[in-house]
Amino acid sequence: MTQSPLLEINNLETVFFTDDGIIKGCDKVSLVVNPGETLAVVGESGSGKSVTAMSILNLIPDPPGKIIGGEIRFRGRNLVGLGREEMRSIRGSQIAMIFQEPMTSLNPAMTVGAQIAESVMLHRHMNKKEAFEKAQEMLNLVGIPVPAQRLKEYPHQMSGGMRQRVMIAIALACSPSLLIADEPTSALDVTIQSQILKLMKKLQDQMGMAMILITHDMGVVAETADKVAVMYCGSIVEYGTSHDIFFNSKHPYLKGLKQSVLSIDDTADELPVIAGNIPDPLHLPTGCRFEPRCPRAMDICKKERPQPIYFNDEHHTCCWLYGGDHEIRS
Amino acid sequence: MRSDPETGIRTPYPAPEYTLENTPADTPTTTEPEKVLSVKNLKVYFPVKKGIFKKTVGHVKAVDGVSFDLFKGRTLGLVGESGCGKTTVAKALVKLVPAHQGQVICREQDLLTVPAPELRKLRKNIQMIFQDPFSSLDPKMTVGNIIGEAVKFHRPGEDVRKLVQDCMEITGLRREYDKRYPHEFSGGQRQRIGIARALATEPAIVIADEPVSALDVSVQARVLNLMKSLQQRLNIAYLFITHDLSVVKHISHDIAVMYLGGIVEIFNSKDLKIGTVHPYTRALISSIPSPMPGQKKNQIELTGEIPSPMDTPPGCRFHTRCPYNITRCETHLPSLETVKPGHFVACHRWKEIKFS
Repeated sequence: MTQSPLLEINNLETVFFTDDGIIKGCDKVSLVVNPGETLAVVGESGSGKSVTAMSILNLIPDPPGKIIGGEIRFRGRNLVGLGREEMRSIRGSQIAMIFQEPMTSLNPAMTVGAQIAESVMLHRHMNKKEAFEKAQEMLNLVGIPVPAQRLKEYPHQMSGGMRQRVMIAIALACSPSLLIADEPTSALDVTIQSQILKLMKKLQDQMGMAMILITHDMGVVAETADKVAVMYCGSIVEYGTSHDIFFNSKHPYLKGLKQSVLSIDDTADELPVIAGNIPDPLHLPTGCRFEPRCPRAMDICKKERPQPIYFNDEHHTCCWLYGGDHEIRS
Repeated sequence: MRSDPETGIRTPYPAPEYTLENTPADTPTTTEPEKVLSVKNLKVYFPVKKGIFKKTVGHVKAVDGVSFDLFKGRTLGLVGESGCGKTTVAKALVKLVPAHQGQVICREQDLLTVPAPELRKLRKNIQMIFQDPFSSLDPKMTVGNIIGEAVKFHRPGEDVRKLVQDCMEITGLRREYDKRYPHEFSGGQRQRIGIARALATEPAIVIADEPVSALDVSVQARVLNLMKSLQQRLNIAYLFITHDLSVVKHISHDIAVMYLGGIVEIFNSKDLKIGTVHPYTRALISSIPSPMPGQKKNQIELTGEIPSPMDTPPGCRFHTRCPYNITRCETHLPSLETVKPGHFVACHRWKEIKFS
């Protein structure tokens, strides 16, 4: 690949210091996002997908959380350990974020227009008049009817789908090159979800930005992602193109996860399930994290953690089933 | 072991002689399912008050003329977008909100009009499972007390502890855990506690309001399997409320689709994929993301959002978003017509519209 990556995360380690011990939210996570590309991060709750996203923007609450290792390179510049002011100039202007809850992540005491204008005034140094014009243009772009009037409204006057559109408008107002969307459609109805996903795809194509989409919904991944990273207990267990992940998956966890996704085409009476529960983050298994639940666990899985095994340039998995005849890179 | 002649439920619960993974499939499915609950023209209106005299200026028509039946051992799935009134239907059935009009017939009595002492007896038959496994359990009560609270009232003189433990065991919780508190359990386990609580009074009807929406996919699958196997063993009728069509397809025998307070289509769940005829049902189905990349489908794009229930459009409630809307839809509210036995639709144009 000749293209230089927009974002490169190497061996990121984010931990939380709690009264009961240290919890590893991110355990040696490495991933790459190229310009204009969509990377989906999938996993169940507690798998570390949001922690990874928060680490990129340095939004991990400290204490109790802290990034203790690794690097996050955005356009070649390491974001780990950057000062408050420097981070502020990147956040919102070059990397923007959309949060899950459109109900709680908007300021209820500010008009929608003021919330959009705020970020352009700060990052693009526009005056108030220009900023409100920009805000109106953004509302129009995200498909809100009568933007001039909606600009003066407060979040509580809007429906869930509208608020999520406003969130997108705020995030995109400064034309960021990377958008991090943390479960952007999970709180929305299916008909609204498909509208929002289409809108995000359209705007992404128009503005040429890259996107990290965090979700637990394999259907959303299938519709939007170029690359997919599957997380389990703080680490990436499989990574590859969307085609690799859906048609050529390797890791037993991913296979189990895909089977337990319900589809309207299903006719099976009983759903296949993954046995057991996610382990306690304070007492993780010493070997492979998935070993206690894995239907194909072997002796070695209990003792040692598997290293990434590559099937092609990008597609890799951490599983002992695929040793031997495949290339091992550390 | 004795058997209740009216419901056929065996009391007390037999000790489970098999694990949940190998529940036998020999369900005694009778050809004529027995009707356990009949809802007729249910209406729930909430008054909107304004001004210093709290004058009623209008009504939110949350549920506006809903009728359906529940049968023993069968599941009716109730689907719709948020704000369509599905949860209000559930709450009205158990009288958590007052109904404006209509009848809810259970054992030849109308739940909405029976006097309070009679109602209390009937309540034992209808139990509810709530959406959020985190906020629907009292954090200051032990699991044993949570599950046993209703048992003490409805089944006095029985060994509560043993009953509670039996209930825990059939839902896949360990008997010893009855002294623990809800915070010691994971989300999936808590939902099992909610299910055990609902089953403890041996209800004939269980109303489940989005029981798996707050759970991860792998946990969701297990809770659904559990609910299915319990239904087969105990012959319960479920009213299963959800916004997720793939979940409802999996658990339900029949599906009712709601839009803005009214049912627009009722059909057998086998027909979900190709047999439905209402444009809204088709749009809902086509907006589910496909679980595999690259699958192209004929999507019916819905523009706009669900209108406010305070100001429902005249005529067909769906006409403001319907791509097949004609003048008649704007003036006349369609009533449910029979497509075939067990399949009803409320649409003026269902015969003409051809979906590719």
